[in-house]
Amino acid sequence: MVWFRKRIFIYAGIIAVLLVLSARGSEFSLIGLFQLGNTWEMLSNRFWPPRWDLVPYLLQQSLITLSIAFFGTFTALLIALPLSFMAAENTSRSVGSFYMVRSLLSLFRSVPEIVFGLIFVVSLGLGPFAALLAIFLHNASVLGKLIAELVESSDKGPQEAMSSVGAGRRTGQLFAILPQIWPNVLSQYFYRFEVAIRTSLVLGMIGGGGLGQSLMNYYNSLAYESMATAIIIIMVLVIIVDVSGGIVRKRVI
Amino acid sequence: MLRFKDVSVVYEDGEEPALDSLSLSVEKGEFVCVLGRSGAGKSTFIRTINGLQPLTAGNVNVLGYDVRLLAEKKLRALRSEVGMIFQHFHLIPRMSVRQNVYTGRFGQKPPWKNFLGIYTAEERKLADYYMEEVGLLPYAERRVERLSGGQKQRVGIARAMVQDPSILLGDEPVASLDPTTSDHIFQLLRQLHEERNLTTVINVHDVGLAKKYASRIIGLKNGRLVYDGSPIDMSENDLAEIYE
Ligand SMILES: Nc1ncnc2c1ncn2[C@@H]1O[C@H](COP(=O)(O)OP(=O)(O)OP(=O)(O)O)[C@@H](O)[C@H]1O
Ligand SMILES: [Mg+2]
Repeated sequence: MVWFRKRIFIYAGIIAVLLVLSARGSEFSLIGLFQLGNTWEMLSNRFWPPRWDLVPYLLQQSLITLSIAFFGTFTALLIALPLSFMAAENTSRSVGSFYMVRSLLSLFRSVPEIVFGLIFVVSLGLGPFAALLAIFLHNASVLGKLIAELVESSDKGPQEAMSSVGAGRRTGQLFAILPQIWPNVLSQYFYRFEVAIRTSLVLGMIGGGGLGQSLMNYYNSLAYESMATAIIIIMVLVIIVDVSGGIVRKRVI
Repeated sequence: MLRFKDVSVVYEDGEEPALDSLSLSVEKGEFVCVLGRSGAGKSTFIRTINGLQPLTAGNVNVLGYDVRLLAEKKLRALRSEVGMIFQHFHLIPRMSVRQNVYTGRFGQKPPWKNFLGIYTAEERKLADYYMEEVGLLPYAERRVERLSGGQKQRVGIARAMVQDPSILLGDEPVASLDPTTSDHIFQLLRQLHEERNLTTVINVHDVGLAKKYASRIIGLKNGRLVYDGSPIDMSENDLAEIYE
């Protein structure tokens, strides 16, 4: 029993109770699992064969999805970098601005992208721009917080060296901190980009354009064979982005 | 050059003062080594000279300026006159030797020129000159992560020297290096000191190095001066007094 303390049994008990409760909450049922076969049947009957003639059109749509994700996250990164220095304890100009920027970031981060998306689709109309804004706002706040944490945990040595040569505050911070955290910043960025691709698919479903919107349109008009094509393209897109993201991240670090 | 008058430093969470009404002065062209046990206040002493460490009481006068009274801008100007090297080098990672050496000029240029990396022909010559002098010109384009400890400290020295400083400070610059490399670094520091009559103040743990290279030794204990004199006059008793 050396490995087990009493506490562990208490934790195990708590987790067991939570599992039971959440199984109820999510209406988990074993009988339902046996009906999964129906899903497969439905897929092979109604989704097959996919409408290959839609591939060119859907590829075009996937470019929209990619654009939303890239433009939204990259501009978010550009804004997040200066914000993060204001939101880090060791580099913020004053306590007041530190708390203000921090709280603003938390506030925006607490709103899920889909909520932003729903709001913008109503206020700005259907289309990729609504999705773009939603992704931008969410990622600027997420990246701002993540980078602020990197700034706070950066080695203070180089900053001290920059002070001692008489460098100005901002010059010193930029040169002492940015090179240190750069690999992590990029790797966080690529991760956010990958996530943004999936998010922009979901945002498409509520009218944010791109592949997600096509998928939803097919679904609503019961065009399952067209939907199958869209799903295949989505899978390929996500796999390509995951793999290339992995390669890029490895290279930067 | 350097004048300490009744200087005390008490850290926020410290009960004993790290420096306890310390008074002394250092003249131009001295090579001072500061000895003392761990916690004696050596780092604190060095860091008050360029204002990295604020004082609790007393005043420090450097090159005619009362460090305590200097506003941000003047303090930066003073710091650019004082080079400093560190135990852990404190180089900018992911940058080359040359880029690191160039950062030594940051105190003497407007920010936009620093950001864009605009350097005059003179400055570039100065950087090349010191990279040559510390023996790193062949490695100028190499990233600093790919250097040995001794080489890294040489980059630190070159960065401090391109400031064209009147005073060079060192906070245990050889404490992370092996004895041979340490000796080479001290030879280099001594050479730089002699070539331009550079006032040098350095903390060391190694009494041998201090005796071999210093023109004057200062012994600190509990933030107080317990020895001040030439290395030749330093007796076993004096050493015992410093290290107890
Ligand atoms: N940031 C700090 N906060 C609180 N106390 C500190 C701080 N820095 C140093 N001290 C205390 O001040 C005293 C002097 O420290 P200092 O670093 O100057 O000694 P040192 O002689 O450089 O020691 P070492 O040889 O270990 O580097 C020590 O008692 C130390 O605990
Ligand atoms: Mg020290």
